[in-house]
Amino acid sequence: MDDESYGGSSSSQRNKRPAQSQSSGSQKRAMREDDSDQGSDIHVPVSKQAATSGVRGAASAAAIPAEDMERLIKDVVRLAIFTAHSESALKREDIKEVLGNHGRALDHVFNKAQERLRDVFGMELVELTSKGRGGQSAEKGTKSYMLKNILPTQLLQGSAIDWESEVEDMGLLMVILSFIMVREGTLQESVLISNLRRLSLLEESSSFGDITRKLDVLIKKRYLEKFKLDHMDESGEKVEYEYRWGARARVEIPEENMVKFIQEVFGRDAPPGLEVAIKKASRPADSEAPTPTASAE
Amino acid sequence: MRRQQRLSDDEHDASMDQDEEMHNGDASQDEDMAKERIKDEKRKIRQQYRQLITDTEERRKELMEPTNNDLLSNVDRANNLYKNVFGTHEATLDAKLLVMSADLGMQKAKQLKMGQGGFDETEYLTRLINTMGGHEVESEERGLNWAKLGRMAAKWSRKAPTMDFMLGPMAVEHKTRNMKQRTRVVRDPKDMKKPQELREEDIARQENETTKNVMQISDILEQMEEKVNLFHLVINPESFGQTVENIFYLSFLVRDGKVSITEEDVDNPDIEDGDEPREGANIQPMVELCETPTAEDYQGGLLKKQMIMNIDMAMWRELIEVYDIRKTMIPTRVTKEKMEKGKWYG
Repeated sequence: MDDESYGGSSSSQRNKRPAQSQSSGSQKRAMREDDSDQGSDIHVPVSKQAATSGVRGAASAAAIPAEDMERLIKDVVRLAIFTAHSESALKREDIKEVLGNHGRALDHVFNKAQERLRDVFGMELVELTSKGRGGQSAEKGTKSYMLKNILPTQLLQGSAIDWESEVEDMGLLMVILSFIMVREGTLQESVLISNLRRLSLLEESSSFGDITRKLDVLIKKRYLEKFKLDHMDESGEKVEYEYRWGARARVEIPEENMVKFIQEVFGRDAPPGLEVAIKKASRPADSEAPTPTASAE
Repeated sequence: MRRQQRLSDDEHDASMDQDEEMHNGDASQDEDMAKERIKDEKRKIRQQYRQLITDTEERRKELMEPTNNDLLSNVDRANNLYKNVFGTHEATLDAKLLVMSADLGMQKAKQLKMGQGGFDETEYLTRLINTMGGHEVESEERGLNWAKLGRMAAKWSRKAPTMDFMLGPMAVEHKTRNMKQRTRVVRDPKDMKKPQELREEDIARQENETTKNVMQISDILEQMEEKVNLFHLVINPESFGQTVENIFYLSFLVRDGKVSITEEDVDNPDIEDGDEPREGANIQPMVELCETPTAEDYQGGLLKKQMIMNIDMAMWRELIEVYDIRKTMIPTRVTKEKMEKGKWYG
């Protein structure tokens, strides 16, 4: 039964573009109207049949002919890279949509795609985590994924990748994230703005344009999170916002890398004990755990 | 009576005062005075505490400055005040101030971050600017070199590089723009008209009617060789309109002094102009050509006279009847009702 239906669709899949290649007849396309998917021009057709397909559990993966399976894996890899390009999150549902009729085989295809991404592209899909308002609570999964570069550190150090025009934005992001980190992970907006002013970023001639818009983009892309700060006093002082690292930043920039970056900025004549100072500054006072590197220096 | 009055005096501290008043009942006057002094003293302390609290609240921002030590002196002042405190109310105020100061102190400490061995953000900013060539002269124009810093940052980033181009689009669905289908007006070429093309010769110079007509009247008068009655001349029994026009044209001749209009006794033409007309004279306005007065004539006292002539259709009909006008002297002008087709007037 199942075999038959797959066989039917496979014939049509061979000579069609992968993503829109479900059973030819009743294919319906739907625009996804999803706010969190801003800027993305990737729209995946949905098959109405997907929900009603009678395939069950693990058996589903085995039931898919090898050729079709190959196609599905490639589709997911492709989708992952495309999504990464627009710096939006890849949601589980998005993967499901690509799989069409074979939604039940998601885990299997996902794992295979993950292998492919690691072996061929030096990347892997990582689940985005949410830390919640407090920022202190345990990270929670979001069923959304993003690609992370897993090339060996030495390769990255050797500037193996040419980031081209992205490089300036990466610099700006790194600097903003560093400001946040050395303030125990939360930075008041007023402090951030005054720091940005010192870097001439509030000037109209700044190459980044309107810096507040830039910040908004970083928030959208989940590099930053912005919270309204509850002021401690009752006098109704003006509302202040604070910035924290966003989920994407947590994936892309390990804290120890940030420490290394700041050290590099200070250069050779860095003050003694800089690393300790950075680490100390980046940890909330109450959760100050003794770090092995700290005692070593 | 007195007690009640006091209470209302200082409602705020009512509860405190009440205790004292109880014992105060039948105390001597000396004692009363002493109590009064203490009460004043307390009131003063309370006021000072309140002042201090308000101050602290208002200067919150200022007190949080890292270099500002007023928070400490605030506590000192409170300590001094506390020496004179012997009531619970005052002590409460002291506690309130202390809690507030502690709160501020904590926030201040948080802002300061650890003093020694702390991370020097100011230094970090300076180094960032240095790294981007901020203190070099040429950067004044080019701005900070973010690309340089970016390349440093990229080494520490685990961002996945992606490519602009991949084979085939990812099922790109263009947003269907809601284009309202505009119904195009299809015109039948047969119904279309070409605009008339104009060439120089198509434009007929409009003749100056007025001059022409004035000249015509002048010619007519010349042929008459004798005076003619004004109304015989101008009235066109066929057309009131042309009658008016004739008067209009004639007026040009009169203005230029080429024609004179005089009142004359037609039955006795010999009588001179200036003479008193005799009884029953048949005086009519007569028109004739005359010599154009020269500049000398005017200088010699010749005056220009102006006359406005009134005529309406009733008068026109009456004049036709009175003078028995059957035919127009000035020929009826044919109005060019039908313009030559395709002619334009310029």
